[in-house]
Amino acid sequence: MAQQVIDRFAPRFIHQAQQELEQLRDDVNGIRAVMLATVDGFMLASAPQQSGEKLAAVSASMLAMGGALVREAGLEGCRSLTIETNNGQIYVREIQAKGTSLILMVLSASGTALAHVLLGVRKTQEKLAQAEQVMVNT
Amino acid sequence: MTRYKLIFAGGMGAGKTTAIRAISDITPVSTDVENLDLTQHEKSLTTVGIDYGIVQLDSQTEVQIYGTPGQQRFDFVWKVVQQGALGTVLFVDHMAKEPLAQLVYYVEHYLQDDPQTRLVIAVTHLDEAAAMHTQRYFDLLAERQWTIPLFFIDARERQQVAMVVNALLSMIEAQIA
Repeated sequence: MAQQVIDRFAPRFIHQAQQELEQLRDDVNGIRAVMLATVDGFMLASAPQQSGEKLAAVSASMLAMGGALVREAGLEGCRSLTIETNNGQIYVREIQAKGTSLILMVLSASGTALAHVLLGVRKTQEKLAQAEQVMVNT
Repeated sequence: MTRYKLIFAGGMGAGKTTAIRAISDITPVSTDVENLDLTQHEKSLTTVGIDYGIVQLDSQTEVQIYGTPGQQRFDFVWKVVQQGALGTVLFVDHMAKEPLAQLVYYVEHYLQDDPQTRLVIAVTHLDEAAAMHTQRYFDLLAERQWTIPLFFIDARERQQVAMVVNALLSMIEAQIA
């Protein structure tokens, strides 16, 4: 299932995403893990490389729930969620690449300056947005 | 005011979101996103969070309906929604590859969680041509000795969804009484 979804993405894009995620993790002090997933919760790439199917599904779910909350509150366009915990922060952001919506999730240690995470994510987002091709059939 | 919390569960594309839209008296909360997993189901949108709707039965009774995502990787949503729920309508897509296997999977999931759980099965997409005879559902329930009410409905039709919800509510009321 997951493989069939990944196969719909250009291998070059997945490869580039992998590199960008590693770059993001290395650039920002405190980032523990970064993941790129589809809006319906399939993992496309992650740094460090590991299985994160459940993490991708929960991230997709949370972002969609955020969207529902945003609409109920009469606002529009849920762009990101920030979750603070006792021992770290989770930042989930919807990004666009060639008309495809994707989810970027960043896990950082407690004490990490969120501003640094946001700046790093913005750079990653911009680079992924410039990809020549994202999906195979688009 | 009596409030009932019910769940609409079942496989991907079985009509849970559609049924909530059909029956809810409020604009339902929905968490549809683009569906990329076309091998699983070819529909364009899929629920990844919860759907939520309210049915006002009369001035004293309100039914809150929570819809869950069908895909197994979202089973954490099933668990979250399960808390405090009095019963579940299990939607089964008659056009799915193996509707009987799906039925067994979900019934076993919910029975395992709570053997006393109240279930009603709603089989959908009967209007599309299918090879399988509908009698097979009743044969399966008999084989397994599951005394679970089963209906064939059109999830787009408010009255048909209401019929299933009422069946579930009468089971709940019978047990509470």
